[in-house]
Amino acid sequence: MIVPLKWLSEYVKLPTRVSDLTDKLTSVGHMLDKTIANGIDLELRGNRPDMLGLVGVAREVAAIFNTRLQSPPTTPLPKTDKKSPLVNVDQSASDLVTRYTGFTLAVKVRPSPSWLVERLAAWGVPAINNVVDITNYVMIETGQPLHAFALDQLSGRRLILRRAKKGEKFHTIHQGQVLYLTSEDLVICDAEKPQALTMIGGLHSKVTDHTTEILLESAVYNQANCRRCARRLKITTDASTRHEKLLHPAQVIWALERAYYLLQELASAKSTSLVSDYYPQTPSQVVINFDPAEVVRLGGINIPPSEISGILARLEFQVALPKVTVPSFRTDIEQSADLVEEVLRLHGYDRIPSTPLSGAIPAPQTYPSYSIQEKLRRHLISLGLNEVITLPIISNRFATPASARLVNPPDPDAAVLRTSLMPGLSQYATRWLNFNQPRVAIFEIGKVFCKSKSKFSESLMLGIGVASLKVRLQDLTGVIQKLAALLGTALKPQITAQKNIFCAEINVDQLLPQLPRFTNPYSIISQFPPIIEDINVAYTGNYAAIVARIKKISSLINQIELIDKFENKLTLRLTYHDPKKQLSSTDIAPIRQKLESLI
Amino acid sequence: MREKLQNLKNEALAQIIQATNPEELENLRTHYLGKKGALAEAAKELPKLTPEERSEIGQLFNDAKTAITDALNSKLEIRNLKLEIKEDLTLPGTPIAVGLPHPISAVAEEMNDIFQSLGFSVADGPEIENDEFNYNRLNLPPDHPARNLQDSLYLREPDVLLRTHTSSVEAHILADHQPPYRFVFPGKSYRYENVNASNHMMFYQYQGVAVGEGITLANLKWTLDTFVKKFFGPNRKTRFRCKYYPEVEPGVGVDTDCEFCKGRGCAVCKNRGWIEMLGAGMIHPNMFKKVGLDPRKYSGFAWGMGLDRIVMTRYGLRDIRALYNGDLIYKI
Repeated sequence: MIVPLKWLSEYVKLPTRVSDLTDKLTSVGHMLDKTIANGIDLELRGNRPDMLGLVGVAREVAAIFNTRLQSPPTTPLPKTDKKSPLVNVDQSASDLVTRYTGFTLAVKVRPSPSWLVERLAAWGVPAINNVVDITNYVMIETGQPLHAFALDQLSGRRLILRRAKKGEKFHTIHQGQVLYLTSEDLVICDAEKPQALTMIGGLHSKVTDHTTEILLESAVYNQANCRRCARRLKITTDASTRHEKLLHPAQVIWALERAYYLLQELASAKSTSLVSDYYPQTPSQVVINFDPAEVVRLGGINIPPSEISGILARLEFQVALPKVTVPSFRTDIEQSADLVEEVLRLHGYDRIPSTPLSGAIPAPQTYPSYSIQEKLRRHLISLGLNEVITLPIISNRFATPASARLVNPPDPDAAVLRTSLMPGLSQYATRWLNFNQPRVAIFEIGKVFCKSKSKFSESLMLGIGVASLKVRLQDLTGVIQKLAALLGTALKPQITAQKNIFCAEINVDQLLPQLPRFTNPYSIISQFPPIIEDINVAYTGNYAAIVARIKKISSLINQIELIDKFENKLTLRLTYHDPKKQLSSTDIAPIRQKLESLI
Repeated sequence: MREKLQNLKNEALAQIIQATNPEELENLRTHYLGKKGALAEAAKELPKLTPEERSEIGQLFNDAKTAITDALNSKLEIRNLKLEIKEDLTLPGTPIAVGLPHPISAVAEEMNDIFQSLGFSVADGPEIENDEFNYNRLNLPPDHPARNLQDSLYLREPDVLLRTHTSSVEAHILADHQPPYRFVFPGKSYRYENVNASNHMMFYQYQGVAVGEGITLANLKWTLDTFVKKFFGPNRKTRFRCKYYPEVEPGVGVDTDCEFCKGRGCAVCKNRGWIEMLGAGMIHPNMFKKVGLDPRKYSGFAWGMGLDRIVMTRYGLRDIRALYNGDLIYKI
């Protein structure tokens, strides 16, 4: 929100130093985005539509510095005509309109005076003519959008609010901009066609130099619908930004009264009708039962009840504790916790003490699904592998029938969620190989996603990739075997091969329940030396089976190591060992006999 | 006798430590361990002792002998080792494979360590979410304007999406645990973003939550202040200001002083002197009501911060895409 400071000072006394003002505004919840020429730009706060008007900003400043707000002058509106001859809301659109209020005025359209032109320019709005400029000016002041129609261009000289027909055309005030509408859009029509949308006026009924009579309106719509329509139509205006927020319908009258005053002053306006006011449901005042003790319970700071009441009163709440009545412009305040924030922010967040958490420390309960990731990461790093993270949203060419797809991908060529870590890992490995990294050994721990019928699911996976120009499968299986030993469980990875790259993938969700709580890789060197000998065996294509068969022969065979593999022959190094005594060749002889039968 | 042996040992060890050349050590060996050395002399006294004394003093005697022998040997070994090294120690050694965690994991682990020492556990949760846990339970009902700020990536509109923040994990924690509890959770989040050097459709958040009775904003302040001092260093300053987030009330924005200009104002901090670090606040009463907890009895705080930016600043990486696309080189 752009805030020209000279303009703001018309409503409230400002501190001499701009930084005193912006520091305080930042502290109470309106962060300074940047300072600009002769003004400041405050970040928009999603729940404070009142701060989208300069008077709202001034009111906040008055509360902060405990000074008086000087509201701009207004002129009371003509009486309300209960029959609402100017405004009719169709039944189909009754859920889209909260309040729609308008009346007609005779005006003299001419250029605005220079002070008004300059102020609008400071805010970034071009001057058009006095009538249009006043509607913009009042919106900037009050935060409440208004619109003026050229009455002679309205067929039937009245407005009908209804849902648009599918495909209905609308010409905006911007020459040549044509929108095609849906039944979700609210249109403000004359007897023939749409003349305005909630966020923008129409070309045909815009106020021009020839206009002599206008229909001035201000309205509050269904904010959600305004948001959806503005997004679908891709139109963002100062009006749409405000209509998307929770404006209070009471503000409509204030905005019209202010505009009426300025139109009288600058456009010689005279009302030519009573007010038509579509306002089927007046919201009741919000009254909150407020226990001042909530401030210390949530805030951790003791503020005397009198000071609490004082702060709330400065913010224009009516305080008769425990009852606190919320001013209508504060649509963000619904319950006690909201009032606690009001008190604390004005009292100063910097004055809240810093107090350690007290009470019993909750029992440690880190999720096993998280701990296992830390464990895998630690082990693989100890094996010399680097961890990488790749995008779960991947190129469409990796799509499988089980792939889940994004409905609204930012990049239409990458609309698929990975069902495997392998495409990402192998791309990553290729990239590193191309960077002349001689040896690539990487892993990733991450989710993969799946769609089956209409159900979506995700699983945690571990992917391991090794790559080099001379990569061997054993470079990968070596890692997996050591990892299995460290984890103390068998691993059954899915393995894929590509040129120069081997990848393995393990389902971590399935691994989790089979993981032993404890593994023991340590033992003390035996005082009885082992006997070591090499043997040759025929290779049948299954090393694990050969090892198992040899181990079965005797429990004294402590260790079997592959020394060499040549064609169909394996050279194995056997270590015989007895933890209880020194082995002699007579102990080994019967084992050797059995081994020979095997060879 | 006991004292005599003790003194002998201490004296010998001191001399050995101070010895500067091999001859000196050899002399010491002869003096203490030789056939007519100090220990041998002492041994002559042993037979005069009573059997009980003999066993005790014998033990002491052996200890002294072993200690002196070991000291002499190790001193000689080290000296020998020192003598042998005449090569260029700056020549590259045998390469060994070093594995490193991804910088995101490294920082998350560091943060986990800090918070675990403050009594927090680590949680996680699903990345595919439904509307209920990603939005409704965080006090973001359908059509809430704040949903505008978080463009979701949908798998099926309007109810299945990739989580837009790790606050969804907070919603699960509130539903699954009974207070008191304290959790942190690092994790991926996804939003509709056109990817560039500073924005990505996938990014990491680091979230935390503490719920119990009597938890206040003052506790939030202490917890996050302690974290900042531990993580960024004792000189980092924090600023707590009012900020709106639908899932908290009162809401808090936490800034740290800009490390580039030391708070004076520069391009990085948009001349504010402060950098927005995280969003936080007291858990909104509506969130407690959703899980059947009485907001008048329980209170709690929550926070969330972008992990990527902290990681990028810490390691001097200027392009968020490099964290995930293979452009990151591990230099050790």
